[in-house]
Formats: sequence, structure tokens, C-alpha cells
Amino acid sequence: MSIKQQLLLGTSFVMLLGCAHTPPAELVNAREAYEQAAEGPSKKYTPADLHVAKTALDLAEKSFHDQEETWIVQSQAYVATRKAQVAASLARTHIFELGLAASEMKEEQLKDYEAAMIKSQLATANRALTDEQAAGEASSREHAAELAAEQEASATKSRELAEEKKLRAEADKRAAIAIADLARIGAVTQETRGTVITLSGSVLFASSKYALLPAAQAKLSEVALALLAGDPSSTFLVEGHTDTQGKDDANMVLSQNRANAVRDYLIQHEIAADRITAAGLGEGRSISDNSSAEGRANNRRVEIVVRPGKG
Amino acid sequence: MTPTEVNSQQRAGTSTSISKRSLALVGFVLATACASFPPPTDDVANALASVRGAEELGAEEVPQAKLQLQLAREEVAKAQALMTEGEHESAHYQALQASNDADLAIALVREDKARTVAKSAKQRVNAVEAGVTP
Repeated sequence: MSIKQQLLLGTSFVMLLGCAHTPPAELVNAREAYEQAAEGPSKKYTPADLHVAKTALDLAEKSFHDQEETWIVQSQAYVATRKAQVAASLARTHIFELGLAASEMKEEQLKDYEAAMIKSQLATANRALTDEQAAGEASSREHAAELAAEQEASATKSRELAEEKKLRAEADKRAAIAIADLARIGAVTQETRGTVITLSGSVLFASSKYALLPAAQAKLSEVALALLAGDPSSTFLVEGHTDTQGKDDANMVLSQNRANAVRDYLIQHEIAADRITAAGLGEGRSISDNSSAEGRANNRRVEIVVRPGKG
Repeated sequence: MTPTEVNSQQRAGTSTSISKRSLALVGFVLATACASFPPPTDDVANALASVRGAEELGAEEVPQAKLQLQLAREEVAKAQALMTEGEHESAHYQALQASNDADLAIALVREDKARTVAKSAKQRVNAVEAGVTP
């Protein structure tokens, strides 16, 4: 055996010994802390901080492997543990911030909706007041004139009532037909927030784009016709959703642009602009598992929420 | 010919003695490495700054963060004491631990704040939603 070979053998023996010595508790903790952080949301939301934690752990592992003094390994492992915990905490913070943003957006939508309700209630109250004033004026006139006016008013009122009843019946019928029409175009579900029409993102848009595909325009034209045929007092909310691939904020922008594109198209097709709002909700409201291609395709979607009108 | 060029030519001629000398130098540096560990003034200053940051953010009010803050304070005091004793390397590691404990305290305070804000927003929305939808 040559000297070189002997040396090699000796070195590998030393290396084996090196691997065999037991790691201090701090290093074991650091490994566990890193594993935990890496398995959690940190990988997705705070990869840079996770990487810092990994670098710190690697340093401790190297010192351990190089048989540095134990207290140095312990201190480095302690630092690595803290860095892993920081990465995990930052990721949780990020998730809370996402939840907050979603709540704020929802709050905004609800506020708009409430404002519209209050406005319509106010209008009704105003009308009632005008009617009362008119009645008051009428009572100051001659008795005969008053009687005639009252009779006239009551006749008008009953005509109006009959008219309104007819309109309501027609509206209900139209709404039923409209929903049946929509069911052929996209998935239609009834939820507490109204009738939800779900259109697949892959039918409407090319990947990462927000220009409507030609096929989508035909579909949306049908949607527009069906919506127009429905209850004329109902309002629509167009929501864009993406899957979890890509950056959060990019997805947020993309989903908003897509929702806007659908809204603009519907407005071009005779739906009054004040009946329709668009919101981009990004990747936050998945309906399927994002780990499969099929699930992600389901999550890339545009939802049109038909909210019933008052009355 | 500039003086530098003259020098480098001379060096090229005596490369053997140079490498011997640099070897000796490396050996000397290695031998004195422990003794010449520089005082970790920056590390201690960083640790103190992180501790102050955690205090200002209100780490005292968040139980988990408070624990980390206390650890950081103890470690920073220890690092300062070690530095005075001339134990620079130990002081360096103590200061790093203090910094990282304080940083964790800061992260935990922020997390706690984000959790509280998100929770109350969610409750607000739920309340409004319950009122609006029939």
C-alpha cells in the first residue's frame, strides 16, 4: 500500500469518526425548527428568510462536522433556531395581512351595496312625502274637487298596483328563463350572496393575459343577453380569481384586469354601467386544490354574482 | 519602467522565499487567532439596537415576545461583560444570540399585531354581512 493510499484511508477513518460524534441538543433543535419552518407557509411567503435560516443552520452543521468547539456549535445552532422561528413568524404575519386585505375588500363591497340600499330607501321615502304633500294640498281645495282628486288618485293607485304586479310577474318569469339560459353557458349556483355564474378562466382568457378570447366573446354575449332578460333591478358583481401560481400581487392585478375586461364587455353589450361592478380577488378564494393541474384550472375563473334587486 | 514593475519583477525572481514567508505568516496568524479576535463592538451595538427596537414596538406587552426580549437583554449584558474581560470571541457569539432573540421578539410582536387587526376586520365584515344578507 502506497503512502498516498494510507493517507486516504486514514482521512476517511477520521471523517467517519467525525460523523459519529453526537450533535448537541441545540443543533438537534435547530434542525427541527428549520424542518418545521420549511414545511409550513414560509416556503411560499418568506422564502428569503427561510434561506437565511438554512444558511445559519448550514454554518452550525459545518462547525459541528469540522469538530469546532462545542460551545461555538451550540451558539450557532441557537442562532439558526431563532432565524427559522423568525421565518415562520413572518410567514404567519403575511397570511394575516392577506386575510386583512380580503376583509377590507369585502367591507368595501358591502359598503357599496349598503349605500345603494339606503339610496333606494331614501328615494321611496321621498316619493311618499311628495304624495302626502300633494294630498295635503288637495284637502285645502273644494270638497268636490277633493273628492274627484281622491277618486282619481285611488284609481291611479290601483292601476299602478295592477301594473306593478304584472311587471313583477314578468320579471320573475324572465329571471327564471335567464337562469335556465345561463346554466347552458357556465355553472350556476344559488348562494346567500345571490345567483353565482362561474365561467372557466381557460375559456375566457389566454394564460396570464386579460384580453378576452374570441370564443369568450360569444359566451359573454349570451351571458349579457341572459342578464338583460332577467330582473331589471338586479345588480351584478364580476369577480376575478386566479390559482396560487405566480406572485400574489401579480395575481391580484391580473384578476382585477380580467374582472374589468368582463365588466367592460358586458357594459358594451347594453348592461347599464351602474348595475355592474368588478373586483379582482387574486388567489385567495380557491374552490379546488391548487396542487393539481385540474384544481388550478378550476380556480382560474370569473364569477358573476347576480344580486336580486329590492322590492 | 515604473517602480511597481521593478518590484514585481524582483518578486517573481524570489517567489520561493516569498511563499515560505507567507506560510510562516499564515502559521503565525493561526497561532494567534484566538488572542487577536477583534473586540465585537459592532455585534454588541447591533444587539443593543435590536433590543431597543423590540422594546419600542411593545414586545413587553406580548407574552411570547417578552420572553425573547428578556433573553436578549441577558445575553447582551453577558456579551458586554465578556468583552470587558477580553473574551472577544465568546462576546461575539453572545451578541449574535442576543440580536437573534431580539429579532424574533420583533417578528412575534408584528405577528401578534397583524393577527389582531385581521381578526377584528374579519369580525366587522361578518357582522355587516349578517345584517345585509337576508
